[in-house]
Amino acid sequence: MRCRQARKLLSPFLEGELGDKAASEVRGHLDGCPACARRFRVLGEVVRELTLLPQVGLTSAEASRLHLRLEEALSAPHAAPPHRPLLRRAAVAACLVAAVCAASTWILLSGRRAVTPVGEPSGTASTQQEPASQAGTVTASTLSLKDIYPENAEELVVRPALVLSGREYSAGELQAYGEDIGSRMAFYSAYWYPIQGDTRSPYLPRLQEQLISELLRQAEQAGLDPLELRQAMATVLAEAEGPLLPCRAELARIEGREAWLISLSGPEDYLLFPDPQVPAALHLAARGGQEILRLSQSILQELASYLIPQGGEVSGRGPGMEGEAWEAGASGETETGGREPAGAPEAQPGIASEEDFQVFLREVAAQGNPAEAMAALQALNYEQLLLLLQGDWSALAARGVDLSDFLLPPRRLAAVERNAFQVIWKAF
Amino acid sequence: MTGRGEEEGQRDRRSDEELVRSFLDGDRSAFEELVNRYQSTVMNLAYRMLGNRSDAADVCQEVFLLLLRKLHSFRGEAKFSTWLYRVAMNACHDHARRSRRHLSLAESPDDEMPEMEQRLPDEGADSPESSMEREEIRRQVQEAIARLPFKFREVIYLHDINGYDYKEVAEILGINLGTVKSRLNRARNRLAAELEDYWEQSR
Repeated sequence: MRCRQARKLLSPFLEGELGDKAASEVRGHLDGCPACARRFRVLGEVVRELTLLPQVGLTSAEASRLHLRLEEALSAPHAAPPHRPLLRRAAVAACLVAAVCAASTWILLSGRRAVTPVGEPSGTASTQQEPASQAGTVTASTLSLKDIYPENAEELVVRPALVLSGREYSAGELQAYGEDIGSRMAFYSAYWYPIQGDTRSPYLPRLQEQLISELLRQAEQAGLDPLELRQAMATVLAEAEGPLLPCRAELARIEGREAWLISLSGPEDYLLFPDPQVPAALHLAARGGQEILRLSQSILQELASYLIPQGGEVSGRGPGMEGEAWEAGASGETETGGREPAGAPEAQPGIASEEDFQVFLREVAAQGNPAEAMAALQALNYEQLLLLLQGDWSALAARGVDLSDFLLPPRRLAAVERNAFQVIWKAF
Repeated sequence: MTGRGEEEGQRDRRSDEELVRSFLDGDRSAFEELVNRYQSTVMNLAYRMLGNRSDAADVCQEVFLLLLRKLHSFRGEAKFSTWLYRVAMNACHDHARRSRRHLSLAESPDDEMPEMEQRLPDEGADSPESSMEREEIRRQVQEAIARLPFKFREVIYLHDINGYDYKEVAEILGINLGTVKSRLNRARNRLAAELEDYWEQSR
């Protein structure tokens, strides 16, 4: 028996869990190997020390604070068990959701676009309805990458989506959910990762927390308990390696059990992001994330100028991206800043001409972007390009664009049973 | 569950589950009883998982506030203590991730430790010198635990520190037995490797 093999067996050997033969081999190895014998001795000491660690309790001051805080919570008008008003509200919302779901409707509560229609290019077209109890209650909120890349002028805005669908999923459907780009466009509206490769970036934990906070805020506005969603998030993130970013949380039913379906993005999922190494540049993932298109700030500003219609408002502006480039000359947020319903009349894509578009493509190519990625870009028309840069995947899909050129199927999806805080299904 | 903590010795008292039912029927004192019963358990868990007293107290409060809100959804499929451990562990993980301070044990002086620790009986006869050594060993062990990935800390805490068997650990963490054993093995090996030099020098 070699040292490496023996060391793997030291803990079970210590516990007396090995069979006679294996135990005898380990014993034989320890007799002839001082290094492993030493490791075994320390292992035993460590385990003994762990069992002897003293109990750490609350000091009297800490206990007083705890009881005071709990007393406050118990005395609050909405406390549990007199927690009923909140419960009733949630129940009303759940009933509405259930009713709406019977008609295959998805409800998105996502920042300014309180209700965001979702294109279903696979033919399972859905209608969007807003539950009466929630109408007008979700206010604008954006997460800004300015905090994350303070040195950059660019700003990307992301709004993770909270979805109360109540929809019943089977495990098979969940698998398809992760594999079929076309069928879950809502997923992509908030699905991105800002940094390729380097999961050690200090920005990521901050961004992760920002995204979670935004989802919790949406949950609270929808009458749900934000702490419950935080627990569900914590459960999922405990299963994940590296700082993944929660992009979407859907309250659904998985094989009969009420569960949070949470999707996360990881380093290979990046779509649009500013390049911290090259200020004033944006990268666009192309060819399913295999290639990168680099777009300089000057090109983006040029594009932005195309986007300004006569009235001074930025048209065709989607929720996935906002920034200085996009705001040049703009009068600020528009009432219809959110995504238009797929199939509904689209905002006119600005005043650019096809010639402008060709100039843009030549400039992008001149910056040494890969030919394959350029080919994918050139296959778009001008309006599609704008939608791509806005990350408006639903609208692109509705126009017949093959999204596999630009997107990877979502890889990380987990279902956490509600209130049990256990992962009951996951794919990552 | 058979771990150390206040949940032991409750034969003559109302069960946790009975307290939950009473609370949901409007008996606030039942909730207070649950808090009294488990506050040290949760604090101990949080301290060992986070290695930081202030964070541990915050999480302890957070856990009971969450409990207050979520008791109505406790369905009794798992034991209350299992459910509570799971909630507390998740809260610790969340807190560690949020604060990114779980590696900062060295920055959090242990001078508060003596007043809150409840000495175990076999330690009462320590001489002052051996007591100091013991404190130093504990500090080294706790720091080594804090450097472990959270997944490893969980199993070390539940199995080695708190005395739960594999099956109970698996139930609390929602993972299978094999995973518990594998994580425990790796966690222990890592601790032993980290502490080997210190241990040998101090002997």
